[in-house]
Amino acid sequence: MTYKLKRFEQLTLDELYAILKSRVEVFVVEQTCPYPEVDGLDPDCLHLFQEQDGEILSYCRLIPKNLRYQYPSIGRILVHPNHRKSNYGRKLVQEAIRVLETETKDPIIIHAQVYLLSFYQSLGFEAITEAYLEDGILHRDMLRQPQGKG
Amino acid sequence: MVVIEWKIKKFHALTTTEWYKIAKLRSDVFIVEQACVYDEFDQRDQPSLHLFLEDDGEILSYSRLMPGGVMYKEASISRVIVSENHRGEGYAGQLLQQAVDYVSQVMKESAIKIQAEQYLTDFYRRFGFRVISEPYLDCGISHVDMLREEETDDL
Repeated sequence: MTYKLKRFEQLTLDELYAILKSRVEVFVVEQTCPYPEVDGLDPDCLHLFQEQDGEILSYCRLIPKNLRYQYPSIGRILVHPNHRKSNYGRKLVQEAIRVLETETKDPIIIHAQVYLLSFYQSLGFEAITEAYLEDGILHRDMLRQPQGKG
Repeated sequence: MVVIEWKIKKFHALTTTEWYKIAKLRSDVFIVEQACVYDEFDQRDQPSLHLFLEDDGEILSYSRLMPGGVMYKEASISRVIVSENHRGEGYAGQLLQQAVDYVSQVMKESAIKIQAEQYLTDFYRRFGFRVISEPYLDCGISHVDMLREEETDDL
């Protein structure tokens, strides 16, 4: 399964629709969270996703440094509900890290939902804050230091 | 002076930037402001027309016009918005008049059914809508269904 990596201007209208639809389905409806899902940052982000027959299987956005946080960030990480437990989440985040590390030597920061802490730890992220509530959901900030190529 | 004009576009005639601004406004109003957890992007946008007023890159007012058979057997006007910073400036009336005229005269739909927030029924009555249901709650907000039918010239 290949990934698409696009700047906002490279997205087709149908891709943008499918992305926003899946984000609202997961982060607003599934997580019961009426928060500003479409937050205005997307035109400045890169969009990484797997698509099949017009449906988003997995998605995240790569936020450049100093846009929202001082470091580059990976946000809105989702796997379509019908495709969970298929390892798509891990592969997606690994691909996002690979993309960011080709562009920057900065660490990567994420606002991780607490129940996914060990998932992100296994991908090299370390928690750097205690748990806090953001939009009613417990989060911890996590940081991944650039890994030497050895 | 900047000329502000209403635009009406089929979904696939929208630019991604226009769609993103519309999507953000709809998310801000119907999910965040109304504290409502629901599937905002419901796949009814593709067969709909999108009516909006844009000034200097900002969408001031918006609604989508659905042909008959998409939501109801009648045509419908939904997602009616005036952006928070521009309420009380008369845009809602302009928006509804444009929407009703377009649906009836260009789309040639003889009936328009809407789901109206109950406190706005007097507003919609001005455009020929009448209440056709008891009030009901949707997302914790009291609504009524309203219908507008073309008046015939038959004597």
